Formats: sequence, structure tokens, C-alpha cells
Amino acid sequence: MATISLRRRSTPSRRSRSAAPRRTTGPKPSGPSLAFVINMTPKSLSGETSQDSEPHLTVNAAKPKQIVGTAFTPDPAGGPRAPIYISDNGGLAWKLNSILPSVAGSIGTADITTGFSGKSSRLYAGILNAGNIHLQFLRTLNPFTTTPMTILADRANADQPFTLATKKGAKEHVYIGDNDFNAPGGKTSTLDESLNAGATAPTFTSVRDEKRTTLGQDGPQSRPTAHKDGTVYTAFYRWRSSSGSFPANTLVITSADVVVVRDDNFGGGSPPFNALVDLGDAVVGKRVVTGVSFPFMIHGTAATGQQRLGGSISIAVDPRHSAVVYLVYADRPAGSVQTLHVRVSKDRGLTWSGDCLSVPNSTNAAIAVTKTGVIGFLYQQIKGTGASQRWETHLRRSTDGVNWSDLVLSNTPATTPAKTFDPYLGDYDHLVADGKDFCGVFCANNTPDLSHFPNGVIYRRNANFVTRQLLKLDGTTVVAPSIDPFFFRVRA
Amino acid sequence: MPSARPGRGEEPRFVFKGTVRKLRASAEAAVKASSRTAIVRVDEVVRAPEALAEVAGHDVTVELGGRDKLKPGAQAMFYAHGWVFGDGLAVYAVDHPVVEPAHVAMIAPGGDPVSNLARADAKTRFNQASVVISGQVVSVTLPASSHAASNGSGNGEPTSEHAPLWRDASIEVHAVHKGKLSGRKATVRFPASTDVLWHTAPKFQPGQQGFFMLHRSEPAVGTRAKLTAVAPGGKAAFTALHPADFQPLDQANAVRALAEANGHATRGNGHAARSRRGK
Repeated sequence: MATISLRRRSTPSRRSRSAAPRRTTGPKPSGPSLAFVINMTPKSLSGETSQDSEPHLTVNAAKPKQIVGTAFTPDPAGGPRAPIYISDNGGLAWKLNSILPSVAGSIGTADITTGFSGKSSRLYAGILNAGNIHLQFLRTLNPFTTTPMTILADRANADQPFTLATKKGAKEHVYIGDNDFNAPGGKTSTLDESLNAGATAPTFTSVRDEKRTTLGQDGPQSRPTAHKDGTVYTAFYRWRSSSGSFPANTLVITSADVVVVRDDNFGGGSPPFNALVDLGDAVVGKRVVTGVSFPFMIHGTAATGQQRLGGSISIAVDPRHSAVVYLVYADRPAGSVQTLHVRVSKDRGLTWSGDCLSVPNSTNAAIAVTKTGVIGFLYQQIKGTGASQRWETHLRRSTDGVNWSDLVLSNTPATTPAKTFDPYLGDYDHLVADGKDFCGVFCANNTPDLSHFPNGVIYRRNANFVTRQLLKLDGTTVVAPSIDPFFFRVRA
Repeated sequence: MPSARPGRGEEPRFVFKGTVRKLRASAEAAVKASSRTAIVRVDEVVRAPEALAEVAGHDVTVELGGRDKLKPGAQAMFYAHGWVFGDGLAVYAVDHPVVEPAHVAMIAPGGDPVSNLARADAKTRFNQASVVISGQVVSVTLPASSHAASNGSGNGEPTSEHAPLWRDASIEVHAVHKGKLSGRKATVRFPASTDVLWHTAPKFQPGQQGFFMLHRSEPAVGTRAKLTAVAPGGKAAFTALHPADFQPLDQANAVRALAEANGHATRGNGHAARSRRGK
């Protein structure tokens, strides 16, 4: 008899073990830094080979050791509940807890993001249920129990929910950005919000962030960020014109604006999110940039490292000053498959800087700001061509938005494993500030090779770092590489 | 016990033979030991997705949802849904009958749990199908009412990364194994998309031969239609969205056995039969 135990059968190496977080002696923002990186797949799933892409993460501000992650991970038993990743020790170990509504034998969710509100252990989620493709808003009082999450709202015909939860006093606020094709007039960028999400049957209001004409819809990215003083920003792409064919994978958004809207009363303004007016056309919603172009791919190609591209947006407010807000957006200039641009506004979104930083051939932007004002910028960058093509995951940090350090979290083959579906790595990853740390999540090739993780890595699933092979539960049978989610913690 | 656990109507896909080692116990921190939990040694995995195919010989925590009362040392068949997966794992068994000869028979020597699950899925999909045919794909086309939209997404519907990219496969029918079908051809609408939502659905190609389990009014189809337009003509199309909805010709015996077991008489298509003989 054998019990599946906590102990690793194969340990990575002294080098990787020494990469454990050092919370009391962290590096300075601009200097080199130790990072704690862990493959989130638990030991009991050592034999899995799924493409666990498109990760997201939330840290419980009330209980920072509680972290929930998500990815395109099906229920390992093929059951009707999809799993979330849970850690109750700050990310040192992870489990899967199948508590999401779905349908047996499916991928589970076709989009998922979560947010702790900071009230006890309450967790909210926005998902596309893979069973009926409905947008659903969920809640659980405690994701560390086995009680299935409750469906708070459900509707068809919407896409890419992006969840943020906060609290004000006893009331919980939930903001879920999405692209709602039910919106009239093709003004689809939407923020669904509930300002009393903890109620027994909370009401969600669909705030239509788009006030201008579009080509018939906006882009799928609608990203909120909130400050404790009641300031809430949302950023999105206004699609204005396109060329090419989506089914033929030649669609290009030839003109898009990156728009930021703001509410100064927790999303309860009258009307909500009308606080920021663009002085250029006197319409609600500041156009940070106009007329950008980028492909909107239905599937990835060899040139893009198997990853489909379609723009990228992230936004984060400085916890010290709600007037200071950072934005990342993507476009496609000549010579780059997609370039990320970091910009900042210091006057509540009214005016914006030029590029603080730009990164070519990149996607999956995620930006966050710590309580000490350190900016963190996570992204994934394609390097090289052909068999030597790589995906690099970078965390850039800065205290002033001018000088940036560069920490490479992973450097993995872009050609293997072959994708089993789109998106290969995900249409997003995520970064959050946790006190003085950055916590984040990204997806990558899971070959246990320390050269792929320059700052070390921990595996709970069985792996041999000498032979660079994944192993099944028996500790001997080799498992093919796949895409796994990786959690990291880095001192800001 | 958690509320809203999967019910008996949702067929568990993880089935194993196990021996009860300890009642009122849990080896998984997230699962509180109770009168309904037990630690069970997995003796043999009967059906499982790939990720759980190798857990024989390990202990798992089981919440006992069935009616059978088990004692330490008892051997039972566990029909389980996944629950918590960490360094160990916990499952919820909707049923756990004590092992009987019938169960022994279902565990073929060397039977692969993943293959067994695929066979179970095929049986389920056969039973759910409106029509089951064998035949050959003769063409794959865009749905008749498709047209290019201004943004090039097709069907005039929103551009979404989850767009299914519907295609119509025209199938020359060789035989009908379940249900009724008029004519010698059937059209099945399938998603050509490789998006996460659709990648497991069969992608049909001209010349492809086999068994097609065709579904009308799949529960999800109506809502998927709202996202991306399923049947522009308004008529419900056949779909085949589950991986098991297509079975290759080498599964002929298995499919015919399913038909016979369910009392369906296979009706051949004379024209198609003559065509095959002529080749």
C-alpha cells in the first residue's frame, strides 16, 4: 500500500530549494532579486498532460496566506464541477478544489477570473461556463471548503469576464469587466458591478462603459482597478475599424482607441463611471491613445509562438494616490508581432504620459503597484524563430516609472508542446501586489529544466531535474511535457 | 456534507474498485472527517480520465454518498466525482456497492481505464443521440446562410475568440443504427474552431468514414447559438460536439453492439451499399 504523501520523490536541486521566499531581506526594487516560483500542479496529478493555460490569481487581503488561482484546468476526474487552485500557505503548495459549475467531461470554464473581497474568506468569480457558455458570476463564503460556488447571475452572449472584488466597511463591491454582446448599438464594453455583493441575492448592474460609436463591438478586454478612496477605473479597447477575415485568421483591427473611464464613488456615481470626460470630443471616457492597430487572431501561428494575439490591456491604481494610475496597452508597430506600452496618468486619468516603457513581441500584460509605490509589470515575450523560439516571462519593476529592473521568471521552448487548443499560454496572465511583494501567475512549458527558470522553481508533481523529465505517480513512468500554471512571489 | 453535490443523474467518470481502510476518517486536510468519509485504498481503476488513471495502490479520501453501508476491509466499486486534488486526493462517491461478480466482469484483465472511459462515453452519447449513422463525409462547406460580416467574423455575429466557426459536413449515409433519417444524406454542423471551447469537438474532413452520433437540440446548442449563430436558417441542425460522437470504422462491432443492446435495428442504405461494393 502506498499513500500519496506530501514528500517529493525527486527534489529539483539545492539551487531551486534555495529560491524560497525571503520575506525579511528582500532586494531593492531596481536590483537583482530572488524569486519564489512554483509549478502549481499538485503531486496527485503528476500524470496530467492538459494544457492548463490562461491563468489568473487573487490574494486575500484579509488573510494574505489565502490565494486562489485559476486556469483552463478541467476537473481531473472528469466530473461536473471545474476546479480552482487553492493555497492556504502563501503559495508554497497548491491543491485543486472542484467547486465551479460546469458540465462533466468538459474543459470546465472557457474564461475564469476570481477576486477575494477582503471580507473574511469570501471569493467571487466571473466565468464562462463551458457547459452552456453563459457568463456567470459566482460566490463562495470560503473557497477552502468543498461547498460548490453559488451562481449569483447568469446570462448568455458575453465574453471574457475579468473580476475584481473589494470591500468598504461591511459591504463588498464586485466589479467584473466583460464584453457584452447584448449591449445596444455595438457599445459592448461593459462593467458589471454589485455594490452589495454580500447580500443574499445581490444585484449586478451592467454599466456600459462605451459611449462612442464602434465598428459593431468593442474588444474583449475590459479591466477594472479600484482604490480604497472610492476611485474606480476601467480600461478597454474601442474598436473602430477592421480589415481581413477572422475565420481566415487575417483580421486586423486597423483602428482602435484605448479608453479609460472613472467613477469616484466606488462605482456608485450618478450615472456611474461618467467622471472622466475626454476634452477632445467632450465625451465620457478618456481616449489615452487613438487609432492603434493590431491583429485579432483566432488561432496562434508559428510566428507568434503558437499564441493567438488580440491586444492586451492592464490597469492599476497607485494605492498611495488614487490620482496616479498606470496603464498597459498593446498595438502592432512595424517589426513587432505585438508591442506593449506602459503609460501613467497623475491627474486621475485626464492626461497621460508617453511610453514609460515599451516591449516588442510581447503579450499578456499585467501591471500592479505595491503600497510603497513600486510598479510591477509582468509580460511574456517571444524570442527567436524556428526550433529555437522561446517564450520568456518577465517581471519588470520600477520605483519611478523610468528606471526598470528586469527579472526573467521563465525561458521556455515556444514550439513544444504543440498546442492542443487556443490560447496556448492564455489571453491573459495576472499580477497583484501583496503588501511589499508581487504575486503573480503565468503559464509555460513545464519541462523540469532549471535552465528554463533562471531564478529557480519548485515542483510538487513528480519530476526529475537531472533527466529533465516529468514522472507519473509511480515515480518512474515518463510524462510528456505540457503547459502548467506557475505561481511566483517576488519582493518588490 | 457539501451542498449541491453532483447528483446520481450525473454519471461519474471516475470508477474504481477499492478496499475500505478506515471509516470516519480523512487523509485530506480540506475534507473534514465525518460519519460519511472514509479512507479507501484504490485496488484497481476501472474508468478514469488520464490524470487519475494511475492511482491504483494509493489511498484516497472518499465521501460516501451511496446507500450501501461499508465496513473496514470491505471491497466496493466506487463511482466518484472529483473533489480535492493536492498531495493526496479526495473524491465524492455517489454510489459504492459492495463488489459483486458483475463488477469483476467489468474489469477486463489489463483493461485501460482511459479506454474504458472512452467506451462508456460512446455508450452515453449513443443513448443520447437522436440518430446514429455510419457513412462517409463527402463535403465540408460553410453553412448555407453564412455571409461575410463587416468585421469578417462570418454569420454577421460578434467577433469572439470563442466563435465556433461552424461548418456543415455532408455525410453519405451507409446505414442508420438508431433513429429515423429521411434521404441518403445527413448534414452535421460542427465547429472548426480550435478555441478552448471547441477543440475537443470532432473536426470532419471529406473522405472520413465512420459512425456519427447526431444530436438535435443539445442542451448547450441554443445558448451557443446566441454567442455565434448555430442555425441561421432557423432549423435545428444535427450536431456532433462530443469527442465520442464520431467513432472510426474499426469500432464497428462496438457501435453495432450498442445498437443491438438498445433494440435498434440497423437499416442499410441500398444505394450506399452498392456504392461501397463498387469501390
